[in-house]
Amino acid sequence: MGCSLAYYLARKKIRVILVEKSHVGAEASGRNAGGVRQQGRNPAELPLAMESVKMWPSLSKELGYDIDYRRVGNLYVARNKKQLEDFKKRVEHEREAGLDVRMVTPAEACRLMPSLVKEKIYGGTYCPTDGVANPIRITFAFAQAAKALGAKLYTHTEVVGIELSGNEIKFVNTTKGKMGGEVVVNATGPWASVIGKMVGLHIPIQPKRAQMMITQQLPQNACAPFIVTPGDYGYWTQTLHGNVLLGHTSRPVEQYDIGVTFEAISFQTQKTLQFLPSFKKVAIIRCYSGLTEWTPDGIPIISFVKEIKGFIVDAGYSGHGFCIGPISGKLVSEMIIDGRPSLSLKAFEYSRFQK
Amino acid sequence: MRIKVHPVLGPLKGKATIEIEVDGRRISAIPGEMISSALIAAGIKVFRTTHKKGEPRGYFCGIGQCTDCMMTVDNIPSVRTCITPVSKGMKIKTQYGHGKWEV
Repeated sequence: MGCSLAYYLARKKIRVILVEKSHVGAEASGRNAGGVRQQGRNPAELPLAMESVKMWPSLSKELGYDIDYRRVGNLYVARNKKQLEDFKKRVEHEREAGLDVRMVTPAEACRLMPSLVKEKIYGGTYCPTDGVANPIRITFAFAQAAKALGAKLYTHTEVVGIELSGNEIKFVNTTKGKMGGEVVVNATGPWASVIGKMVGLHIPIQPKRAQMMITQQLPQNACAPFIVTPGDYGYWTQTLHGNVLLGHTSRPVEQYDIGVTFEAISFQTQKTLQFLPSFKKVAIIRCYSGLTEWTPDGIPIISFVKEIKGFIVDAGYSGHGFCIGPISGKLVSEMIIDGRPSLSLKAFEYSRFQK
Repeated sequence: MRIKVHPVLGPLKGKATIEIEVDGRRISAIPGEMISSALIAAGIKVFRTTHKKGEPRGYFCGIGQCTDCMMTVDNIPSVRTCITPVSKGMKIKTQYGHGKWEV
């Protein structure tokens, strides 16, 4: 979010300082599965996701760096009748909102994803305009493009405190000295609550850990669309180089721990084999974890905060912020520059948690 | 080609008593040996071709690290033949790129 915002601000000739605790894309932005997904979202996020998907195809060219964006489609699979009923209601709403999404029969789902077992599934929903991109590449691309436009990028720089004078921010204390500006954006993902405390705000964001596994390179039809199935099963997607990523749904975690656990590996492989038995023959070559950041209602906070002048919270994407990264950066830049984002961000007000 | 007497391991033990199939052709193998050994003994040097340029690859590191010797074994793509033992009637195919995903 920070890199995307820095780029859209720098493009409008705004002076930007981007502070990264570690390197660019070290956290969730570089550790997720890269799903550029519109379907299956909270209705409040859908307009943002749809607008963002319009931006994704041209980003490689615009940023001057290949981000491996591919429109591979997204397939939600129902493993029981109840899930299928839920899908039907959701698709109805999404179609009304103008999304190109449709129900598919078990046979159609198997044609899209040959590893599915027809007898075990009840059907699904397919969104052909959904896709994937390389999360490390896009984050890097935004940061580099922002830098080329004049943004100052401080990596391995930690924010250690914020000094206030009344309700105004005097400066931000970092491990590389004092910095400041007219507007300070808290786009620190799971750490947003920690930064919030520095200005006396309670930002209800909690970290959860999601563990991923990577298989050996496989033929491109091993997992052609991005696959999701509800419940605790996780998601599957294939990289440009053929490795399949097996994603694990998020679990609460203490102390921002991003280690990997054997329990998660075991759980995830068992679920995968129940759902996609042909993966039995596949070798896992690596696994890693990342932190997702959750708000109580599962949608982000993207707003100014009335208590502190010029302070924006841009966090809490609750495990599905990747797709809306580009539009979010653009909208927050509009919010900063002329106070009027081109899409409504009303549903994402910080004040909704203050009632 | 087989090493009949190895300076460290000594003389070759076991006899080629089983058969495996490579691209439809039957070759003999010693029970317990790795697929790649049987292939080299039968004079087969090209195990796969690369994904991007289609260049030939074969036995290289011999310890399961380099993945140059990957082939499709019993419909499983990308099996490292240098660390996978032979078994009777095994069907091995030269792999082109990442091979085929058969469910």
